[in-house]
Parts: sequence; C-alpha cells; structure tokens
Amino acid sequence: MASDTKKIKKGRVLQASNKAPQILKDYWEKLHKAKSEGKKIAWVSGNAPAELLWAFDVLPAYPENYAAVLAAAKLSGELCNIAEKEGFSRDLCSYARTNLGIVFGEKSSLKDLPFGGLPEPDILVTTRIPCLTQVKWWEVIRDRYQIPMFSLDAPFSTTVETSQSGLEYVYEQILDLIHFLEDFTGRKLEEEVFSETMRLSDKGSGLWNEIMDLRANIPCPVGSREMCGNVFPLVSCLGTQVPVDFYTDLRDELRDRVDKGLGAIENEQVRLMLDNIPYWHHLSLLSDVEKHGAVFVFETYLRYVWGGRINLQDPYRSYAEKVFTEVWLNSGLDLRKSMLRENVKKYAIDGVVFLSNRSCKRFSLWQLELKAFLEKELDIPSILIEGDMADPGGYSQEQATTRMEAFLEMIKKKKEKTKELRGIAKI
Amino acid sequence: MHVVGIDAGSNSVKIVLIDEEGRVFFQIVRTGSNSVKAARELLDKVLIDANLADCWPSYIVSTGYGRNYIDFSNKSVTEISCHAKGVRHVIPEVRTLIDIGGQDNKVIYLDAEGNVQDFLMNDKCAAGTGRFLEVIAEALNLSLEQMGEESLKALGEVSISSTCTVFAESEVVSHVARGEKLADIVAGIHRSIVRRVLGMAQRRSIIVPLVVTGGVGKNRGVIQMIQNELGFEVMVPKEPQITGALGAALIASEQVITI
Amino acid sequence: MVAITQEIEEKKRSLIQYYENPQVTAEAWKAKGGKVVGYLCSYVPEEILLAAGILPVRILGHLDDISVASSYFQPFVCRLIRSTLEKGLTKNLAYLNGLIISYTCDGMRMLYDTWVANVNTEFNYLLDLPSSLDRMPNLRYFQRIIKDFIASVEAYTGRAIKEEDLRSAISIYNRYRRLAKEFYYLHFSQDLPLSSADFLKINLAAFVAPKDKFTDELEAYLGLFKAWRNSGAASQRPKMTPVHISGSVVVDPVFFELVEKVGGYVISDDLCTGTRYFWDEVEEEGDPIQALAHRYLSRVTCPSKYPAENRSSFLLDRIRESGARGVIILGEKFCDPHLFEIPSVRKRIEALGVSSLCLETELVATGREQLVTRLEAFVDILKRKEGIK
Repeated sequence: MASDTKKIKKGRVLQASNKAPQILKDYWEKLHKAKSEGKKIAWVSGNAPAELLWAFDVLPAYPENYAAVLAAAKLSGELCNIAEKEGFSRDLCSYARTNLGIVFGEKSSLKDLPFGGLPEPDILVTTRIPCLTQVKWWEVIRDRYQIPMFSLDAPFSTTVETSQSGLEYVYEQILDLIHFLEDFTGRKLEEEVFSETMRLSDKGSGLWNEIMDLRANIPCPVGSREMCGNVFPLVSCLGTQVPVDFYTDLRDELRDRVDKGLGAIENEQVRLMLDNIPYWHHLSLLSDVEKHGAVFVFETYLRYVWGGRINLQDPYRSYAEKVFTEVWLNSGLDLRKSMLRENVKKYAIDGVVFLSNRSCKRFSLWQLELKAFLEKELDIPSILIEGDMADPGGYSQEQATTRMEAFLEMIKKKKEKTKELRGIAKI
Repeated sequence: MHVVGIDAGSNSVKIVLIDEEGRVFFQIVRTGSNSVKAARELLDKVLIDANLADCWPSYIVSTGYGRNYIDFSNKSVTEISCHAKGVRHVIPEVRTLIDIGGQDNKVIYLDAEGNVQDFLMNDKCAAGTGRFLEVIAEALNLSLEQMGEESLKALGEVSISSTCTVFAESEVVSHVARGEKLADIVAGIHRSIVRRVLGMAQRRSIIVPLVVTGGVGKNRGVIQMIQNELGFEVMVPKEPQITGALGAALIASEQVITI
Repeated sequence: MVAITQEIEEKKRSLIQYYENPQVTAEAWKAKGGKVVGYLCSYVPEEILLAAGILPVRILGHLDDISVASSYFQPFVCRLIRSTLEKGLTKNLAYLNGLIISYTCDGMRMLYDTWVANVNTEFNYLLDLPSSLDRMPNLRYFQRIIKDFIASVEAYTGRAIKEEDLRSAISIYNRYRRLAKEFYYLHFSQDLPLSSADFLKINLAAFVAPKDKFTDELEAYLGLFKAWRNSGAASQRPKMTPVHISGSVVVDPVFFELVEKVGGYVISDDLCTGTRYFWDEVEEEGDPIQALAHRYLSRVTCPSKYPAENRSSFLLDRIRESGARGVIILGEKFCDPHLFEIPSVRKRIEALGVSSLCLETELVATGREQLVTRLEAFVDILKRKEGIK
C-alpha cells in the first residue's frame, strides 16, 4: 500500500479515486457506441427515474452532469455565450445555458468536447423534483429535437401528511412513465432487468451512504474535493455494477483509513459543512482550506441529492418514496432545518459554508434562514459565498478565498476561546 | 524589537510600524501597478521615519487584497481579522465596524468580547466604494476632501438612480449640464453610497458603538448622512485608513511575544 | 358632450381608486364581517373564495426599494416575490386575514415557507398545483388539489360552501371576464378618452375590488364610452403605432406613458395581469366544482406550466387580432419560466412577419433613460416599416 501512494493523484488521499475519471470515460464511450448501433438514448435530469430506462434498453445520458464536467474543464463559459447569443438570459441556470450552448451550437465545434460530447437524444425524461428549471429546459430541448418528453411532477416533501398524497401522485406517475416508455420503445418492461437494476441502484446508494457515514469520524478520512469527483459514477451509472464495484473499493479503503486513524489532513483543527452545488470552476476553494487545518466533512450536495435507498419488496412504490425522501432540493424549510441539525451534530461541525449559487434557487433561497437558524439555535457560525456553479463570470476567486480564510480565522478564534473557557472551568 | 503591519489594497498600500516603546508610525501610498514594489519602498520610508533605517522588523504581517504576494512578510491574515483588531485597539467598545475601502466594503460584527461574530463583504462592483467617489470627484473636478465639504452645503439632494459607477458618472454629468447645484449633486452621490453601505450593514441589527473606517471615513458629508439615517452617533478613528495595517501590526506583535 | 366627458372622468376615478387604496376596500369588506385573503397567482380559483364570503385580493408587487427582504432572500428571484416578502415583513399586508401562495414556480414555493416562518397570517395556504398538465395523473392531482382547497376554505370560515353560492360566484366572475374582454376590444380603436396608463390602472383595480361591484361600475363606464362614440365625438389624438406586450405581471403605468411618448400605443397583450387572467370562462352548466377544475386546467397556460403549446397559439392570436405592428417582450428578471421561452416566442413572432423588442424588466420600471431610448428606436423601426408598406 505504501508504494502505491506514488500513484495517487496530487491532492487526493485515496487510491480508489483514481478510477473515477476512467469510469466516466468508459460510460461515455458506451453511450456513443450504443448510439451508433441504433440504440435509444435518453437525456435525463438528475433525480429522474433512470433505472426504468435500463429495463427498456434505453441508455440514460445526463446533460446536467456533463455541464459540471465542462465547467470543471473551464469550457462552460464559451458555451454559455452561445446560449446567450441564442437569446437565453444570463440569469437562467448555468447548467441549462451550458447545455443549450451545445444544443444550439455549431456541430463542428462540438467534436473537441470532453468524451466526444453528448450523443443526441431520442427521448427526454425530466422531473420537477429538483426544480422547475429542469422541466422548462427540457422543453426547449424537446422543441429543438422534436422528440417525445416525459415530465415527472411532485410537490415538496414537508410533513408526513403532505408526503403521503405527494407520494401517491409520484407513484401513479411512475406507472404512467412505464406506459410512456412502452409506447415509445414498442416493448414491455423487462421485469428481471428492472429488478436487477433496482438492486444494483440500491446497493450503490447503500455503499455511498456508508462512505458518507465514515466521514463522520474524527479525523475525517477524505475531503470534499476528492468526493465531489467521486460522486460522478453515482450520478451517471446508477443501476449498473460499475458504481457498486467502485464504491466498494472506496468504502474499504476508507474503513482502513478510519481504523488507522488517518485523516484527509494531518492536523485537523476545523470541520466544515458545505451547502449547495460546488463551484465547479473553482474546486480548489474546497481543498485550499486543508492548508489551514480545515476540512469539509459533509456536503448536502453529496448526501441528499444523489442515490437513495430502495425497498426492493415494493420497487415501484418505494421508487416513488426514494425520490420523495431525503432529497434536499424537494424538502421544505423545516425538513432542511432538521437535516441540518442532525448532521451538524453527527459530523461535529464547527462551521457551515453556504455557496450562494445564483443558478440554483432551490438550493440557495433558504440559506439566509438556515444561517440564522444555525446561529440562534445551534451556535454554529456560517458564511455565504456568492457565485455560480458553472458560470465563472462575475466571480472573483480571490474574494471567495479571502472570505473563506476570514471565516476560518473566525472559527479558530472561537474554538480557542472555548478551549480557554474549558481550561478555566477545569481549574 | 519593532513590528510592521502591511495592508496591501489594490488602491493603496498602508504600512504601520510599532516600535519598542509602542509608538506608532504609518505611511500610505497609491499602489500603482506593482503592489509588492510599492510595499517594499513604503516600508523603507516608514523605517526611516521611525529612525530604524536598515533595521529589519522582527515580524511582518500582511493583509489586504495583495497579502499573499508580499513575499517578505512572515504571515498573512485577512483584512476582516485585521480591521477588527485595529479598530478595537483604538475604540475598545466597538461592536459594529463598517469599512468603506477603495475597492470594497466590509461590515464586521463583533461580540461583546471583541471577537468577529459575523461579517459581510460586497465584492461585486465598485458602486458604493471609495472608487465610486473617486470617479465622481474626477468628473466634478473636486478633491475627495472637497466633496465632503461641498455636500455639507447642500440644501437639497439630486437623486442618482444608477447603481453602476459608470452610469452614475454620466448621470452626474447630465445634472451639471442642467445647472443643478454642485452641493446637491454631491449630496445625491453620497446618498447612493450610504444607501448601498447601509443596505448591506442592516442585514443584521447594528449594535453600537458603530465605527466607520476607510478613506471615505474622512468624508464628513458621508459620515453625517450615515448618522442621520441611523439616528445614532457614528465614530471615526483619527486615521481611518490605517486600521487594517494597525491590526496587522498588532497581530505581528502578538507573534513576537509568543516566540 | 362635455357632460359625458365629465362623467367618464368621474367613473374612471372611481374605478382607479380601488387600485390606489386596496386597504380601504379590504377594511370595508371586513367591517361587514367578511375575510380578506391575498393571493399570488392567477391559477388560484377565486370563485371558491368568493363563494365562502372571502374577498380575494391579488398581490401585485411594487416598484419601491427592497431592503428588509434582502435579509431573507438573495436578489436572484423575481421582484413580485421579493416585494411581497418586503411588504409582509414591514407589516404593509397586515390588512389581509390570509395569503394563498401556489406552487407555480420555485421562488414562489420557497416564499411560502419563509412567509409562514416570518410573517404569518391566520390563514396561510399553499395551493400545491402540478406543473405538468399533459397526463392523466396530473389532471387527477389537479382536481384533488381543488377539492382539498375547498375543504380548507370551509374549515377556515367554519361553514360549508353551498352549491348555489359557488354557482353565483362563477356567474359573477364570468360576467367580469366578458366585460373585461369587451373593454379590451373597445380600446383597440385608440379613440377612447382614456390613456393607456389609466387603462392599466383600471385593469389592475379589478384584482383588488369586489368583482360584482366592480363589474357593475365597469359596465356603466363602458356604456358611457359607447354613448360618447354615438354622440359623434372623435378623439383628438392621432393614431399611433400599435404594439403588443407579452410578459408576466406589469404594474408600471409610466411604462405605457413612455410608449405613447415615443409614438407607440399598447393595443394588445398576453400578460398574466392582462388577457391571460380574464380570457377563459367557467362552464355554467353541470357540476360547478368539475367546471372550475376544467376551466383552470384548460385555460390559456402560463409559461410555468408544461407543456406550453396553447400559450404560444394564444399569443399569436392576440397579435393577429389586434393588428399590432410590433411586440415588446417583457423578460421579467429572474423569472425562469418566462425567460426560457423567450427565444422560441421571438421566433414564432418573427414567423408572422412582426418585429419584436426584448426588454429586461422588473414589473417594468428599471432605467428610465435607457428604456425611452430603446422604445423610441423600436417604434421608429416600426414606423419606417409601415411607411415602406
């Protein structure tokens, strides 16, 4: 193991993380190959029931995920410009603008995109569960390609009562989606394939949750930036064996680190929580804190957006449960407060960083309330850092870094005072 | 044993030196295009002032926008912590601090013990900062001090609606062309700044004493306006521009003690 | 002639004062023992409220500065939502007994929880409408939401809503809708002694006034116009270049003045606060609850709904019908549903051979000087094109 540390990419602590880029590359190749063989490709939004598609031999591709890849590769700015030229306002979601830059761009300029770009869709499946933008964005794509589209609707998850009626509504739509896919493909749902896909999806999600749980350890065995890279297989390949294998390795390596007391950094002084989608064009914002003895140990984006457990006894209904439970973006304010409270405690959080991401109203608009809640009820400090997940325009990396550093100084001072007080108390 | 604090802003560099007897020396200079060079040259000046030429400081803390580029400093600390420290030294009871800097505004909320409890920074654009005033002062052919004095003569106020510095400048030019009173125009400009600054600061309740720092702190018109808006007294240190550098120097002296 | 003009002025004042003093109307209603409930979206079935003895008051937002609300919501959400929150937090909506917010869009939905946590009224209601309206489960859910709404209103008032009251409310609203349409068509001729700004104010007044009283007054008002026309009076004003405005909520009368200042005339619209509000009537035969659900489901859609097909055909119909020479598209800042559809709306308008101008607005307002410049340049283009024809 010791000799393998040379192979670990700079800034990473896990050997297993090395595999993530290849997984993505392989999946994209699979998509392109399938397309060339005449198989059907669906463009799917996050939280949409992609597992169902496998059971109809339709392969899911994720424009949203791809937009994050493009932003990290510093290519999204250019694509957003194309979308703006087409008439789409700069105030619209930057994931949408990035993707529409591809949809409306010159085909010739797209060949050089990572993984050869996204294969064109034959069918569209979206949902309002993360946001209404997903539906309106997909409608633009539908108008462009003139292909069938299905939108899965749902109310917010709030109390148990509203959840019940919302759940029924989603369940009915899942059954309806099956009809829709039957009409489109001309075949019936393959039950065995579906069961297997659900089993693997649940397994992958279970492993992911275990990984998240392991990070509650002190010291935290792996930081945020690395894990943001490692989530991509959960997003794009859920329901296949690939994420199961990948996350098994990841979990085992993390267990080992926890047993040995190995932290992501040597001298862990500050444990941070991150809320919202990372600014993909400035991922070092999440790792630079490690130079100052701080580490992000929990992200709402990683724990409460992707994956989700499934009750295999009643897959269709529990499928509806999955997209309705513990999905941060579809949870009411009170639910978010309780999820926050639970995890601040579980992960021994010293401070919360709210990325005030102007592209995502669903994530951002309650951040000021949550900030006040953290301060008043839990005495946990937090800051907001304005920016955008995929559009680097109007954002200053220096300013964001300064704020982060000032925040760390504030927390360290606070912890010093608490230690002092405790010291005095002991005497 | 003397220590130095350097506040390397993108508009100006401020240096504070505290000597063995606790005397404070300071210098301010325009940053120009090379902040490191400007800081280095300014440091020499301050050392001469303090009769410590060729005597390198025991510890240097740098802060401000260019803090990480000052390769000859021992440590860099953000301007949030430094401003809080500096102002507390001069006005120990301070609870809320508004710094209207050349390039950005900061609001720092301190608890009863003087620790930073929360802070806000506007960093989107120049409107509402010292740069905004500079642009307008140039357009009106006034110095920044004259702007302050001029506004106190105002009997009315011309409303400036643009939230963008560049557009506000054209608005000002058109008001001058229409023959509006200079004092009223300047008062309107000051209102713009005050609105922006207080709009940010009032997101939390402002606990007194409230201190305003930054070059704009020298503008009596702006300070008066803030006081009138809030309904209570606003304190301004004698040298409002150097509080960041002062805080940095104080942090430097703490480092030396611990050594 | 002079007498008619004077009467027209008086009647106009009387109609507009509802818009200028919504609190007065609300207090008068409450003094008679009724409740006053605000609402934020035209998908809220007002007839149900009226049948329960409640005065529905649409909250339209304002153009004033927003300060307190900035501590609760970041600025990247539309002005309607922010100004409603501002008004609520500064106790300016304290005359309302309740507020109904619908899950029309993300910002709106999130406003609900923030409102309940920080402002609150005795009757906060979330109308959890579906966004998709194309498949059976959506339609069933829609009907279920309407039924739940009725039950909640009944629980709030403490009494059941009688069928005859519901029929009566439907009839009142339909009457208003017909008259509003008539008014809309009447002002096509550009020869009424009524500015576009006042036309807007009268239409906005309808949102806060008791519908039957308002409709009576509006009917009398329209009667005066017809009499005035029959008396052979001709408008002093020259015909101006007619334009259509497309958008969401518009509450800025100055905008209309500016359009007229540069030689244009707002002749038609497909605004949320315009034709989309009153165009479709409720079937008065059969079960009223079914009829209501059907009307709200199949009315001209808002861009927040999917799919938005019937919306674009509605828009094009309004343009063809009015003979508008150009379209001003008001892109409401931070309104995702409207902003996503603008490029395709523009293309459809262009296909008709009509020019369009796209403006970024916040219930309109924003940068007067720049607005005038843009409007003037646009109307000049339209005039030039007309000349060539």
